[in-house]
Amino acid sequence: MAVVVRNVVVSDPRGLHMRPSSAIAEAARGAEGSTITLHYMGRSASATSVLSLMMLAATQGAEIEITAEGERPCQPTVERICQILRTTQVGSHE
Amino acid sequence: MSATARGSGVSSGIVIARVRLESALAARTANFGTALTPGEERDRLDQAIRQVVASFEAADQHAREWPLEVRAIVDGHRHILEDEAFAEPIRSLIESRQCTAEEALLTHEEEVLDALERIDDPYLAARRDDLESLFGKVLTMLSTQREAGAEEASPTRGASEEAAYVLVCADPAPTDLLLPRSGTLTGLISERGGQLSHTTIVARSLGLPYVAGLADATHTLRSDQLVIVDGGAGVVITDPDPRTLVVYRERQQLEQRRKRSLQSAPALAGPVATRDRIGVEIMSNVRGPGDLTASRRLQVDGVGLYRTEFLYANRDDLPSEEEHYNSYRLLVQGMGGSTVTIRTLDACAGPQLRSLAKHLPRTNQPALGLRAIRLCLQHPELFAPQIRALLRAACHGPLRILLPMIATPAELRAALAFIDDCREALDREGTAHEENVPVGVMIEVPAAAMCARTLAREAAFLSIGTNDLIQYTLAIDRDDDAVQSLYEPAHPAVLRLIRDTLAAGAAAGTPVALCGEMAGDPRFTRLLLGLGLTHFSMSPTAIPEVKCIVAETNVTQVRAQALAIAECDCPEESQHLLAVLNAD
Repeated sequence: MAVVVRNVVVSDPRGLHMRPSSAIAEAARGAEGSTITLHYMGRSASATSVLSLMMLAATQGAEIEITAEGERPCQPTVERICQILRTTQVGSHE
Repeated sequence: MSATARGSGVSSGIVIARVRLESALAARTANFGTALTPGEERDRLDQAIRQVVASFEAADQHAREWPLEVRAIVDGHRHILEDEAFAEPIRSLIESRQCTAEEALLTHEEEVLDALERIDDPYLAARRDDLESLFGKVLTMLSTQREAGAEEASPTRGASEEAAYVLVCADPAPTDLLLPRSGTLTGLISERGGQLSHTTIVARSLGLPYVAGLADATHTLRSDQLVIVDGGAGVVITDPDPRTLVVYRERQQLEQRRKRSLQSAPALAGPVATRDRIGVEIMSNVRGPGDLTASRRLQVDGVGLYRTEFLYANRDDLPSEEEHYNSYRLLVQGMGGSTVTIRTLDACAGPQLRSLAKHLPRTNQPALGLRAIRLCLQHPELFAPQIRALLRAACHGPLRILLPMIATPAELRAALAFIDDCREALDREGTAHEENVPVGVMIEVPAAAMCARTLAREAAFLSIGTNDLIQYTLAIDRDDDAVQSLYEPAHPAVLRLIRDTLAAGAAAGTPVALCGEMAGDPRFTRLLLGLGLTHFSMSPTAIPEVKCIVAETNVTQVRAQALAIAECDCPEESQHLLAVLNAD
């Protein structure tokens, strides 16, 4: 069982709001057979749950830890999630 | 007592219907009745959530013309509802408290919003709003279920099922318009919002008349009160007297007849010519993505004016090059090969464009200040993403660039040089783009009209913006009620500027279009044809009537009269001769 751990800082001035949360959940749903979790300030959220991600209440500058475990490698999905969190431009959602 | 109130008319059309007030507070303090079994309450909840999701999905056919950020809001809302983490805690509460789905939802909502409240960050308010609006929608569906149940029990109330209503909200979200309620949503009134809001774009795409910015609407209007909403004029009339009602019913019927006749009369769709066989091009003005369906349905000869300010509205940051590009690409692809004329940013200081707050200095005279092309030439970092995106989007179909507020040839030359620089940069990077994109000039400053000969030689096309041209020529602020009576498009001074611009274009072989409100006002169609105009661009709703007049006019016969009107001594005389011209 492989465990991947990444740390990433939220750069969007609006924090982890609905749009990035929604993008992360969409990316995470593509990684079947693995469980990706975001941790912040003692709270945890499944990467597939938009609502839980929004409820992390992560603001700009928040340091988020991402863990991923599962049978199948999910490195690309974790990288994609890091990329979404690092995106500064609020608008560039695509 | 009949009363008239004025707001901002943001989506045109007339509707006469009863008010339905929707208030977050009222929905949350209603009487929810007694709870059914937990199993039944869970089913009600699941059904309500499914209905909201289905309403978002049903809107997919309109979603194609929404800008990406509006689609992102709808998709985001859908993702949250489809998330098990949304419904599961509410289901557990139904189980543990043996309460109604509504009470469980409200308890959970409070917990969720409280959790966000504890963190001190201004940006969390947006997250709160999104969630609150979603909880509110599920709540609305739950109460709709109850009403439907009550109506089944007493069939006499079944009539309201079909009833048309006008929704009145403080600040409606785009998704509020998609929700299925009992009855038919036919119009919208709100306290906040405006020309550039996301909700406006969605209302236009759905063809819903909409008056925004009506102060205190949720307090002054009452549920079930009869209202007339004139979405073109921005007028709301409450409890209309019988005479007013007759007038508006007639206007509404005329409007509907026009729409129908257009759909059933193929002769009116596509190209039109005058009686003496002069081909006239009719293009449409598009305020934003919501206007596109109408333009396509009318088979117009293209888009003569596509405004881009909506891209900058309701946000704190500036749109990226990719956002510009995607928006223009979708527009060009949506128009299926007919020409699209896109005007570069025409912003002046105003409350809706927060994203430009740093660039736009506060001024008492925004109309005469640093705006439009002046602003863009001073801030290359603002201009470059838009120009690069336009050059890139032109790969997907015929696209023209229109520069607003040019007052002197030097500004045109500077803009053309800037566009060349952007093109060279794209070349160097190897980014796909179109080499030959026509660049045109808005003629809206009197100085530009007087220098039109030079501009016509150097630009690919000219487009007369009569709204600003009249405002600047007559020194009339269009938004100042005190001087409205002096605003006269048929003033000989204005007509001479139009005549001279058309003549300058003809001499240089440069096409001249006219895209102000005057183009779509049937009183001026013959006059403009007589002055030599053959390219009109107007709001899609005005097209059918203007096309009819074009087809009935013999330009050779009206030319002398039109030129005489432009030579009148005063507006009183020109108005008189115009009436004679139109009466013939």
